[in-house]
Amino acid sequence: MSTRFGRSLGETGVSWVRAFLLVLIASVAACGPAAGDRYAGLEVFDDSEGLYRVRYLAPPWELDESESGGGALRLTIAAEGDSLGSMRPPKFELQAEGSSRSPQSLLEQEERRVVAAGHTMIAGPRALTVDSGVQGQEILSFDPVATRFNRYVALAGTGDTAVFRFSSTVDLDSLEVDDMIAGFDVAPFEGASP
Amino acid sequence: MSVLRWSLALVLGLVSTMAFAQAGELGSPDQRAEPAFGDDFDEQPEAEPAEPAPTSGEEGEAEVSASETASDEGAAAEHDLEEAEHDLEEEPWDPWRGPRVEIAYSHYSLTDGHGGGAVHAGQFGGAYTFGRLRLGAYGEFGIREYALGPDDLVARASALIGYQHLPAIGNHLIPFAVVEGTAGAVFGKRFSTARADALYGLGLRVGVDLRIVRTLWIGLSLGYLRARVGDVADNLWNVRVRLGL
Repeated sequence: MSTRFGRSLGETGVSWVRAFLLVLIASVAACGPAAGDRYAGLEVFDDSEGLYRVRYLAPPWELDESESGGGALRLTIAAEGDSLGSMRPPKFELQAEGSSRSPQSLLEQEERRVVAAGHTMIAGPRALTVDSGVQGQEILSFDPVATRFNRYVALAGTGDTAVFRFSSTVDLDSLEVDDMIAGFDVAPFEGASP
Repeated sequence: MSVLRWSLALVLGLVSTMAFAQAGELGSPDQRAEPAFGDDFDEQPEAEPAEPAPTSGEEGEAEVSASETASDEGAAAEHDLEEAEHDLEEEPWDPWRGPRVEIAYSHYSLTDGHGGGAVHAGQFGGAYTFGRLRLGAYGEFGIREYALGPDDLVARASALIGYQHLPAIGNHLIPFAVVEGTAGAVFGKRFSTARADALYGLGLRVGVDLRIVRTLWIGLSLGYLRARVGDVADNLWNVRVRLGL
């Protein structure tokens, strides 16, 4: 390139301007979903019966394919040193399924079960709204015998209700779990599956 | 994280103090050989011509000769002092030929998708020049804010190659433009579980080095990196403040 700037650089035998432009083009063309997107980097599981959609971060979440499908989903985070299939309870567990009952009815049933089992009620029943605008209810409890925290979420679809059960050795009333629940969706889904 | 910021500031302050203390000992071989400044000169009493005492004959002549010699020495010392002052004020800028080390503070954002992602990092590295060709590399450790949980640790290494303008502008400023490649990892915890994401990218950096005194530099640069962190891509605008020798 025969410019004054190019000539001053020509002593090294390299066209620096061209090199810089090529690097700029190459760097801008780097592929991958944008980091600022709401669900960037998340895996998506769509219920085979089309009732619910779950977005999750993998790793650490792992899909248990042997217990997923046919309307059911099981995600786990193994305890330290364990792997999927270990006999020890996982550190985190999420199970999802559909129900023909209303969220209100399901929450009342869950509340009775918690009390009868001697669990400690931490919060709820309380209302929640996910990113897509779908409303639901949830209950948080603690099992002192198994030393596990439980979070039961019911989201109302146009027909059936999607039920999500979290179980963990770590407190489930956290920003990370709140954000994961906010990414859940029930039919009809907003937009196409990412 | 505030502890880390104060720690970086303390390190920068210590290094700059050491650099200034050492800068006073540097200088051209001619200056070091001449005690024109400092205590040596101040402690030497200025030779004053002795007043000739009223003596007879040969003794009187010898004393006059000694006083004239002392007066000449004083004048010579004063002349040397003036020359040294002149040399220091108009010290010619020798193009930097050797390797240079530097410490730096860098700030940029690795978006976490939840409003966080600001990174504050300390860097240590160096550079070498071959005329207008500038080569450099540095290592970095930083803390990345994560909005939903504990902050992450960022560790990466970068290499730079590009152009620097010579001779220095105004005998003090050297602007440069380089291509930067980086690779490293982001370590954090998600759902109480350790996780590591690879980080790599390529981009451009422009900046300027300002010579403060002798070989002590301070530099400021702005860089752009198109980086991939795990499964997502991000645009990193990076500000870097450097202190080097």
